[in-house]
Amino acid sequence: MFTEDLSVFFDTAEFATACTLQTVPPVPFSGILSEADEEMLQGYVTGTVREIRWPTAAATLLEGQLITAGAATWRVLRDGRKVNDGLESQTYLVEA
Amino acid sequence: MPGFITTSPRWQIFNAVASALERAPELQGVPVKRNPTSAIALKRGDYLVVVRWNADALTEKRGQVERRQFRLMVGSIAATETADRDADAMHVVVGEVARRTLTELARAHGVGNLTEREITPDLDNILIEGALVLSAWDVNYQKPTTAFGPT
Repeated sequence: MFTEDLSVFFDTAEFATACTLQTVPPVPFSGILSEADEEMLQGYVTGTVREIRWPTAAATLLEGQLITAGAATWRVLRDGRKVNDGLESQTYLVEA
Repeated sequence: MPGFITTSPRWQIFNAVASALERAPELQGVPVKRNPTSAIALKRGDYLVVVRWNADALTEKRGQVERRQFRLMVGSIAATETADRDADAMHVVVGEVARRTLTELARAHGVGNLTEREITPDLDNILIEGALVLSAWDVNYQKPTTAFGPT
């Protein structure tokens, strides 16, 4: 069982970004945002895939919800999925 | 450097369809990529048409005439919030232009019958917002046999 303190990994002074899930009331959490170009659609195109990882206990991200990170607003592309023993979750974002 | 001018029916069919798509007023502003050899960078809001040639198979040979079947792939791509709907809607237009062109080719140059094969939608909106609708077209034609006999 993974028992480490996740705040070390999701430290906004390091790699994480302060995010807010735009619900009522808003839910602040820290997440690690990343993006990478991937080949898709039978190899015809490359698209930029944007991913976020966050401590599962901090927020539940559902498809269609909005999050803000700095000046940017993102829409959650699909419900979050637990990874790494369930303590972390991951999903994909698109520009809102 | 040797120079070659292709007069092959498959090139003419491919070129006629790609040119018609490039010129079609209904598709103004939509880039048409001919035989793409690498993945094209897709940005949000982009629409794209791809035309790719495929197998050109000998189906029958009688005397100095051979019948062949040339497969052409035509795809419509959209990167929008409703990518599946938008790619499909554009593909209806793309299909009309391709069908019109191939019908004209048949009338003007005796290119044989035309069959639209399967249409396969491909969604990638799990990772991004994007969709592809791809059609295969089989064009039957005949041409004189190319002889490589001893001189």
